Amino acid sequence: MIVRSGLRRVPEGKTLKIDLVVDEDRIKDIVISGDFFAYPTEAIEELEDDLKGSRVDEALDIVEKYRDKIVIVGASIDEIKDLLKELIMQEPRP
Amino acid sequence: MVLWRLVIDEGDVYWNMAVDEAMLYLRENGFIPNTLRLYVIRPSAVTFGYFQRVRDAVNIGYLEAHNIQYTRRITGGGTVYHDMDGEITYSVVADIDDISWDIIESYRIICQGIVYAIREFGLNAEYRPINDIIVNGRKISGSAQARKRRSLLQHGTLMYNTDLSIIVKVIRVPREKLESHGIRSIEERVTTLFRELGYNPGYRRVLDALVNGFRKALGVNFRVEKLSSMEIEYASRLIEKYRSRQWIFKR
Repeated sequence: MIVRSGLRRVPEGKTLKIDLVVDEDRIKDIVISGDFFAYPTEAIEELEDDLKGSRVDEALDIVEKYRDKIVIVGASIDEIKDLLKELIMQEPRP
Repeated sequence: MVLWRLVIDEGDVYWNMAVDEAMLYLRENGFIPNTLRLYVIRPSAVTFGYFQRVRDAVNIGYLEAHNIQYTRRITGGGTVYHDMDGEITYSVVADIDDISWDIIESYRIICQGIVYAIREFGLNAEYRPINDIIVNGRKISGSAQARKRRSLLQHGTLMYNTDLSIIVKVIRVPREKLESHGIRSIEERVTTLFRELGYNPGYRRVLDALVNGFRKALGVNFRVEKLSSMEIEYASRLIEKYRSRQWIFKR
């Protein structure tokens, strides 16, 4: 089980944080949090639910599918993908 | 001139968050008119944004130790300390058609009410996207907006005499956020009308300034009314959610 968290300040934007739990090749849990705004509000939780149980290598494609379903102010789909990628690609700690 | 409803109010944080949500729902269904509500959260309390994790947003230990109420909003954004002796909260519930479909533009239009209110005291205030109002380089007001299909709720603060030393104790701010503003503590970034003016203008004068400011910003006249029985009924059903650990700790 791999547990990782990443936080960044989006340029000209807000704070974006992702808490990720990976079990084998699957995302076991993910929370996308921060002081940004998203419309509609429920879309972030729908995205999280879609990601939970998905294969890690499909995660970025799942996020991409939300590009037209959600307007994020103070962060963006690209920032979420970028931070998620950073967490997934992180070298395992020795 | 278009007539909006104005509600002057006060209550605890759970009640006020419930009323704001009730009003958004009822406006969405066309049951209430466009409304400006100006209220005091009594006792002083903390709210944080819908997408925040409670443990990242607030210092729970301090809040529990000092019996300060806290809850999650239905709007995004960050953590707010609502000082009952130093802050007035506003909420605007309106058809999106009557404000703007462009999100930032709608923030700007509504925030302009606060800007005009502050200018009534001879201070220069400006709206800084996304949701801040700045006086002399420091934040004096923050806002947050939620939308349904055709209506919006925007609520926010105006600090006139907030105890800034308490903010540091209750609000947790990530180091990355402080660094992005080039400061070490949140206290360096916020201000109040008292701090800028050198005297406390007091609730009454700030309230009047807000009414004038929103009248000018929205181009409307206000008729003062009380909450309807339907709003009270609806808010009474929602209040338990805002008190529940399930809601507060959902993220």
